[in-house]
Amino acid sequence: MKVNRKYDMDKMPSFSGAVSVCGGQVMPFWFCRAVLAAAAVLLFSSLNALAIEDSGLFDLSLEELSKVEVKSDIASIRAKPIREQPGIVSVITAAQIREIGARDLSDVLMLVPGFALDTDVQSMVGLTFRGLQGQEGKVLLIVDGIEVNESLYGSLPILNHIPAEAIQQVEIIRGPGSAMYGGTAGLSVVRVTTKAAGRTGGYAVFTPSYVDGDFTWNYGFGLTFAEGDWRLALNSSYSDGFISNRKYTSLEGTTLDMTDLSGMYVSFIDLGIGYRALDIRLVLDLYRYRDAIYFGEPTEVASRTSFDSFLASVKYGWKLNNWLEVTPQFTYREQDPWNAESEELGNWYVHARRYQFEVNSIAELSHRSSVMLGARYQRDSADEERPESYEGHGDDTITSDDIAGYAQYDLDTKWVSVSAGVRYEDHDAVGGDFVPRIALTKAWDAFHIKALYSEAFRTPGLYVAKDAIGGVIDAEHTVNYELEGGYRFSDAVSWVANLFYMKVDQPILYDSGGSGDADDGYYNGTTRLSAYGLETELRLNLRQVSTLIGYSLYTADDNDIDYVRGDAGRFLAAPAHKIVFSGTWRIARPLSWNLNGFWLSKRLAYVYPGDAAYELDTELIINSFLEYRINRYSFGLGVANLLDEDRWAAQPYAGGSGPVPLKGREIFVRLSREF
Amino acid sequence: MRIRDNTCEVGRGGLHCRLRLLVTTAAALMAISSVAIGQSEEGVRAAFLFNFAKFTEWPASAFADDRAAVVVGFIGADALAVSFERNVAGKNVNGRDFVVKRLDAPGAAENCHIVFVGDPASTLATLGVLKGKPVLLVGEGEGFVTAGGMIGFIKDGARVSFDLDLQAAGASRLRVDSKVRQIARRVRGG
Repeated sequence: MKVNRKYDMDKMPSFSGAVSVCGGQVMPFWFCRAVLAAAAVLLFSSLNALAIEDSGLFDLSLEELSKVEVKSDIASIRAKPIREQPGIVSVITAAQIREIGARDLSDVLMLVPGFALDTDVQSMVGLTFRGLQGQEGKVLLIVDGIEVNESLYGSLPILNHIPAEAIQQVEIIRGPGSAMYGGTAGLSVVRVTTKAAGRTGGYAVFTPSYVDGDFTWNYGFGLTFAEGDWRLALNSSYSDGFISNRKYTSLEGTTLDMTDLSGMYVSFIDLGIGYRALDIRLVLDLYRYRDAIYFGEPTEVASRTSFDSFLASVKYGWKLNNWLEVTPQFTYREQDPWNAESEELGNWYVHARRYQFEVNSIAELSHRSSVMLGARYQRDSADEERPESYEGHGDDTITSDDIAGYAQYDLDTKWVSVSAGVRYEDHDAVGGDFVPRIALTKAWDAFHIKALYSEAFRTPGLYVAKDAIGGVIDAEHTVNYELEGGYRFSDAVSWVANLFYMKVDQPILYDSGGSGDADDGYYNGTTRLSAYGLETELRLNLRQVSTLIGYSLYTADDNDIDYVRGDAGRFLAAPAHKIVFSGTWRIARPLSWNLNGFWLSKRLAYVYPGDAAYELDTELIINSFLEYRINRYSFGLGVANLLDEDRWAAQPYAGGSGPVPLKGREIFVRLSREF
Repeated sequence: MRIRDNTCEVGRGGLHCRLRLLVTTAAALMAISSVAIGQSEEGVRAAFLFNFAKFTEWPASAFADDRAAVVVGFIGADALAVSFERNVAGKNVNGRDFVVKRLDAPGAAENCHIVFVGDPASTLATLGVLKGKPVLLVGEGEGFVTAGGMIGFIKDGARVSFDLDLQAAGASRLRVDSKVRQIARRVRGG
């Protein structure tokens, strides 16, 4: 039922047209110079770099060995250390997730620079990244190799989604990933790997929570097993929570106490079965909640909104010889996104399916170079049943075909590592789109630097294409420049920082119709959005204490689209400044205490009386988690939002909804046992 | 280094000259500090195994004589076994060479000094067979240690770390050096 209603707005400004490469509208002059300088440094950085082969590891002391980084392959063909990844990459492990007392993926992402929460309609809480809304098809979530974003709009509900106890590792490309991951990765890629059959055993977790007179419950159970060539892993959880215990105020001034009208019921079952190189994955993700905000206005009776998904994948890692591996993968998805059952407004059901077949091949050309080639075909379809009250009531079926080819070449030289990738994707609604990317990285003993250029695109979801004004819409195109540098001051202290500049051409926007004669629907903005900024993290890792302090900043550059404009330098809903922090004190062997949280600067959002965007107060959210571990048992006591601050998820466009309040102080206990 | 380009003679500090000097100096400095780090996870684990052998003391009865080799067995961890075998060639600890064995069944592990259990299905059986015997038991994850193993590798952020159970090691008459204890993420029974 996600159909935005009319909302008055000014006419869109016209496209300015002229483009210059450096110092002009493609990127600011200072950024261009910085990129060129970094490229020069990388190209000339010589010369006698000594690549330590694994044999060199045997000459390291134990202490040195404990500091050697292992690798990720989220942005590279072969696994590489994070500081050498051809992308701005964050990795959060299960141990870190447990240490901070995270309950779900959103708790983890809020400690990553650049991310913030926003809302769409029907109280759905999603993500912004680097100032721009990511919920509608721009932040790609992959769980165990399967894309989770729904296929109507690309939406990604994040609140209380993906249980923390099931997560083995979260890898994030903080930046576009379209060349590798396709048209839903315009801003970022979040890849979750759940706990797998690495050992025989399992876990059971019980997490009761208390918020202002209400108790909620969370249960998790996992089992891993292996016998001979067979592997089996099961992760399951059920969460009974709610969105908020605070009051919502509409732009008309009507208030709604959400305490009993925003219950969430989230079930997650992930089953992995493996036999040698064959991997079968089945995921049942039932995301349901009550909602009493109908496109900004409170309703008398809560409706039931659901984002149910059944995801299945079969893949086979076929190693033809010691340098060539071919992996065919078939994925099938059934989703019921944005489904609503409302006594007041009628029911709206849509059932979406995706068949996807992908072949990925990786060839190790030498120990310094590798190439990846792949092709993917996918068919999306959706069957809709509209309520009688809805204009154009009736059943409707739409389909969409998409075919893509991609390639990447990674080369490590003693001067610099180069990663170059391209992707061509042909979508039957928007035609073909070609995106290249290139990354230069160099890591020395203590210092590393990266210079990245990438293009990305957003393939419109089924309903975005269906609701295109005039029946025509193009893919949204993003150009990104990034620079990263990092330095290890000592074995315990490291610092990393990156600059970014991104420009979104032809942004896909929803026209509420208030500006002209057009009907409601999606269209390509006739101007651009762009932003630049930085993200930085300082880490301290000692035996008893570890701390992280991060900061992120964005400044809107091209920001003339009133629909998403906050003020000259800010987009709606997204804080320009964000500080994250986390500190763990391992008090004694079984006892540790973590204090983490984030601070958001003032955000702009439409609030009552709705005539303009107003500033929301800053937010300082502090979470505390005390854990005592003995043998296979763990007892945790946590307080989320310790200061009982007002938290808001604001709408990142002028869509007629006030900010959705989130929960206040929440006390929870986590009891877990491994077996 | 003497710069022979006429435009960069001493005293002629034009833009071109200064740029060249800057680049050359930067290149020289970078060359000095250049050490590429890019090890495989197996490589790091294999090197840890080598160090565990170096810093573990077995009872004298565990070896036939002073020159007897340290026998390292791998159950279901082919990549790690390959990495270890390749890199340990020609190396020794305390005058003892290494012998690498790939084991099909836990029962074959009794003659080893270190056993890495990479096949989760074999964990409990291996622990049962080797209980009380002077064999250093290494495996994957915290669960391996809670199940009775001595050292369990874990991925700690971008690095490889491990949990250590000194009580289990002591029960098998193994003495693990304090250097290993200092590096372990968690130490039980210390």
